[in-house]
Amino acid sequence: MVIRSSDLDLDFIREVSKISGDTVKSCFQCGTCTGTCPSGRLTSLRSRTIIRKAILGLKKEVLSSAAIWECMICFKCHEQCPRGVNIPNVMLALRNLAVREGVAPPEGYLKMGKSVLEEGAVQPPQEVVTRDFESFTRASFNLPDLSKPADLSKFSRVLTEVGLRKAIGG
Amino acid sequence: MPKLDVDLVEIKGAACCGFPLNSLDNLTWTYLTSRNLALCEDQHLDMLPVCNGCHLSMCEVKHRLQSDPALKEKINALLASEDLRYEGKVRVRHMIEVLHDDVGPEKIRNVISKPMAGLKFAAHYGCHAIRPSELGRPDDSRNPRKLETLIGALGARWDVYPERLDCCGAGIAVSAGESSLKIAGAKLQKLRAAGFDGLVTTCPFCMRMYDARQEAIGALLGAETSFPVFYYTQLLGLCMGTDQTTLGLELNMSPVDEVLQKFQATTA
Repeated sequence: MVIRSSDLDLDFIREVSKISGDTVKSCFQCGTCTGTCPSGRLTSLRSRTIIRKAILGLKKEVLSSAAIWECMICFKCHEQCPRGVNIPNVMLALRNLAVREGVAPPEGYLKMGKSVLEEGAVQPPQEVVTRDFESFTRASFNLPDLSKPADLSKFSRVLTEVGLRKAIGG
Repeated sequence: MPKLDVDLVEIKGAACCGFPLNSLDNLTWTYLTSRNLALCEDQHLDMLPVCNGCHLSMCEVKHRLQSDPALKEKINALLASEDLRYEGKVRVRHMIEVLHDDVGPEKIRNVISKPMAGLKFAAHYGCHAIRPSELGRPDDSRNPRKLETLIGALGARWDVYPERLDCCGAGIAVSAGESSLKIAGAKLQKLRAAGFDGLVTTCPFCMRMYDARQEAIGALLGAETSFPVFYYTQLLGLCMGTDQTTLGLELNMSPVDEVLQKFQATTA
């Protein structure tokens, strides 16, 4: 692959570390993270490659890759990293930046974001089904309603101010 | 839990901990987590987040706000709209810490009336109960023992197994559904052959992967993944003589009946 200097955004890693913390700059490319990654065995995620490209400043390529969404945030790599890089937090920072650049996240994240904005929870209370296919609600078990913010419209306003509505493209 | 001198009340006004939304916007996560911490402070409660991910969120945000006063002020300015303020006093406990460190295996041994002899369980901690160790998790990241000790306190047997510290896969359920099921399946496929009667966890997200998604995992892998999965608190309740309906055992989607029958046979 040919890397042209015009493709590099040298400020990119600073943007990343503003969210993820400074540890990312210490990476010396040993590859322990990719070796310990349980997701990478099945998905396109190669943590070492992502971090190298991010440090180089290949912003567009990194932010548009599906791989940054395939990290399970399990912290196995972080426990093993000899340089103390918080790789899961780097992946989360890259996702944040991708969203800011207008990359569409996997659909489920948008649904959860919308539901939190409107109801305070990632999904409304569900009916549950027993192994014998009987359905129950909280009320049928005499359980009280789930807690939620007393004033949902105020809650939603603050979250909009924080930036959630913008993040889900609403 | 009252029999163990632990009183449980719901947090009034609680919302999502924000963990899944950290993928979209870091400040949204920080705000939502702080808001729940502030509610606990306002209501003079210690916090017991049931889910590993919620627990890590609370601990991580507590740490961030403590080390970044400017961020804390920014969050407090946002919380003021609901007359909330986060000071940093709230104590956050994990289910494993409450049961192992606060209640203790000795008390559990004394309070149970029906010990679980003859059954052998595999413990599943879940990633965020043990990692990242730099934030001080409920148990050791490389060789945790608390959940096994708690299983032992019920009179049941336990053993370690190679996949013990592995992830349940829930973290990519949204972005890579099939891979997530395969990761959960990798553990389920090993347990029966390893001589276990059941898998035990405390985390609802892990529980969802191993229990509720079990049929989907089996269908995807075309392999035998059917295996009983329990919350630790369900086993504790059984040993304390609590009835199965109260423990919600009919809501486990995995084949728990085989374990329940063995348990009843030994305690009848």
